[in-house]
Amino acid sequence: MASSRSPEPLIQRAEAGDRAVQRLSDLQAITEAALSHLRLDDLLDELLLRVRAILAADTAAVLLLDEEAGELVARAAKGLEEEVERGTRIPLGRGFAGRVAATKSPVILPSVSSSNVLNPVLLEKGVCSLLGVPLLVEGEAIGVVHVGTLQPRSFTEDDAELLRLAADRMAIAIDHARLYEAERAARAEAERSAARIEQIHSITDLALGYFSLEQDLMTRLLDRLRTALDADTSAILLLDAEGEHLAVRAARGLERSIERGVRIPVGAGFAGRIVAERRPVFLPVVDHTKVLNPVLLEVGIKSLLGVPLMVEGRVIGVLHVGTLTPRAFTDEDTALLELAGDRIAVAIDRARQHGVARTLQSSLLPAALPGVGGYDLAARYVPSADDAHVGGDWYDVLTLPGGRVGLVMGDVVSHGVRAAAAMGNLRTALRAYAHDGSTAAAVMERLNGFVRSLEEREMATIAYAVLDTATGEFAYTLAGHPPPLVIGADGEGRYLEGGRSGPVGVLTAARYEQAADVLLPGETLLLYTDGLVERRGEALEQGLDELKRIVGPDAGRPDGLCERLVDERGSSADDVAVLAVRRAALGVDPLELRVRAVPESLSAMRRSLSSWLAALGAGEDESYDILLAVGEAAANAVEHAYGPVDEQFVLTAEIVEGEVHLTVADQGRWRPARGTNRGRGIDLMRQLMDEVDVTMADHGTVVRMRRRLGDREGGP
Amino acid sequence: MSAEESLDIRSEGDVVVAELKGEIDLANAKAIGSLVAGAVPNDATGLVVDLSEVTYLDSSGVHLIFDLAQRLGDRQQRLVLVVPEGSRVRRVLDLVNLEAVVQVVRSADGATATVRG
Repeated sequence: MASSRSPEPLIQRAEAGDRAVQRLSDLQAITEAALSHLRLDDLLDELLLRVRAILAADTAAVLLLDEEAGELVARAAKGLEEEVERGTRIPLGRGFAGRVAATKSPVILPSVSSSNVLNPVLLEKGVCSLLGVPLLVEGEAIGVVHVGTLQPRSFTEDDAELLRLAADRMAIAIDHARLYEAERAARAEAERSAARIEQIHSITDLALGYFSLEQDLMTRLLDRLRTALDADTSAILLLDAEGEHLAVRAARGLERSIERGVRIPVGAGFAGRIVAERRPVFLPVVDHTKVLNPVLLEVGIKSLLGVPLMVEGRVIGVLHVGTLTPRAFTDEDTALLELAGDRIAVAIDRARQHGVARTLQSSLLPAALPGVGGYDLAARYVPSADDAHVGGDWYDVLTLPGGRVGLVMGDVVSHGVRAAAAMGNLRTALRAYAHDGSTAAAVMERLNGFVRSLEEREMATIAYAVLDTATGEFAYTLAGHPPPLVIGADGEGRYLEGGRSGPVGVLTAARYEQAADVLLPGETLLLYTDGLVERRGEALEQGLDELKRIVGPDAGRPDGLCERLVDERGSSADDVAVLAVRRAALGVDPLELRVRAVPESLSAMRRSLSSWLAALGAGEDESYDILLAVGEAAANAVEHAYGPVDEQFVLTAEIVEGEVHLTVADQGRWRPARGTNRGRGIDLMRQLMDEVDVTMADHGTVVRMRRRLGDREGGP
Repeated sequence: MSAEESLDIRSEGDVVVAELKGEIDLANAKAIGSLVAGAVPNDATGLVVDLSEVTYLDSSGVHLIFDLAQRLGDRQQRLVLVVPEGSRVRRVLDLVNLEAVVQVVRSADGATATVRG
């Protein structure tokens, strides 16, 4: 940004157009990753992959400060793994990383040599150019993140800025993960952690708000713009449906024109001329011959600069800024206003197409449910037809350590964008607490504490159950939420009676009860929000009875069941969310698992496959062989996953005439085996299974394997 | 399981003993390798890696062991693996013919003596 008035960061980012949006979403992905991995090592691995991808670099590494020793210690690396393995330590102030940490500023090294780096691994690996930035927490360097390339590259200021933004989030995430670890020991830390979650959310919320049409957000954008351009007034005018008149939709310094409902015909006055001419207009001297809006004259505006708001070549409105003293707006000012206008136009258009709360809401619901071995899961969310009532319902399925799965159904009591945003906070906090291994009731207690610590408190009802997938046993707690329904294999339903407590966010130190129950093979657990059972002028009891009646006697599989329920019981007055979890009847259903392509998913995947094989009656040794072979295929899929957060691979298993057929399908392209490790994996698969077939195509790789049960000696 | 949770390291005189536990796969093998290698000082006679409590080991784990064998070999140090009779892990170690490269004993008792030769 060449402007001397140092505009707001948001506008700066807008300048880079679509690339900026991409970068925002990349940064968003870093925040997301930060929240889903609370273990520091996993977190750093994930973050480095992203940083390396965003900057199209070959290497990425994090060094963390050992304060006592005054040295930076290599903690995680991509493309420079030896750095970590050798436990490389760099004294503060010396070498490349030491300089970054000591100066707390980005350092660009266009040409790496033994004279400017200390770490031998960088030289051995042939790193040519480096860019490093400090990891800052509250102004103190806690470490350094750097990226490097194997070809000479001139890292730009822009690259440095992007890495700095990513580093800010990483620093918070690292700090958060450290805090989280500490929290287990000291309950006193809980409050601070909650503050961290909120801090991370404030970043998320900004990006989300960016695409919404809420009045106060538009106003916020106008404020930023006013500051950036050093102007006194700013306004957004939108064309009406007929395209004949402009009305002021949001304004700063000109609020009266909204109150008065000022309308400007296209072609007339200042704004009308911008629409007609489809180009920026600058009025150095404002007088009544040139403007129609009386408010502009009343407040004494001397100069005006306006640009058309365009979406795909259509003008949808006008954005303008004004000053109370004469001002010669420059070409640079115009360019900046145009860029801001582009972003605002896109945001307005998008919001119009979807409805704000709805967009926000659906962006916060899981894109896909995780695969849970031996269980069939489905969910639906249907927003209220009435926009004012959208928002606040959510469901979530969490893969927890120890073969457990967390099932969440919640309902924030208020509606609209605020409810949807609050729901996002609750969802993230609940995820964090659930991963800590606490009981259902303890998770709810901490969540309540979290909600009470927020400035904008929201009340929410939540049903939360922790299911042990191996046994079907689950513990649940109902925070003011309607009771989940267990549907027997025969379609007979029973409501869960225990674990009842008040909604979260009401009492400061609420106690939460939990109760235990078990889901038998063939049974379905149904969680839902009140929109499914509540009807105006109808007692709740009646709704609950009606739900039972609709479900039985043939509930069917979760997907069809959810579809049927929202069809028959969906209400237009309120949002409806349902989540159905059916425990497979023993050993008959084929298995289909969608697994996140990260190493941490492999253990849970094997456990799921293991219980599926046990249900089939497979022997221990042959089960182990199959687990190992599938584990190798899955490890390949994970190693080649590259890119978006939600990259997944799919494992299917079925039994066909005494033979287990398995497939592992990913979307990546297997590179030739590197070193002996992966090659060994494929050899193992071939030795363990009767048949192995690897098909590589542009859209992904599929491994098909077969193994006849009870056919050969496996095991030791 | 994290690398730290999967691992107990102690010294028995001039021999380092690493007891591995639980599942070893892509998620933790590399980190375990670093921790174990880092725990063997230059002047140690060698290393015992006890796999008695390991319930799952895939090719990442095999790689970890080969890698340790190589690193120790470079420093003229000996590596002995403990793999009890009937261990789950034996299956995969047999398939990759690990015993051709690394000495394997059945029991932790006397493993350190084996290292000292």
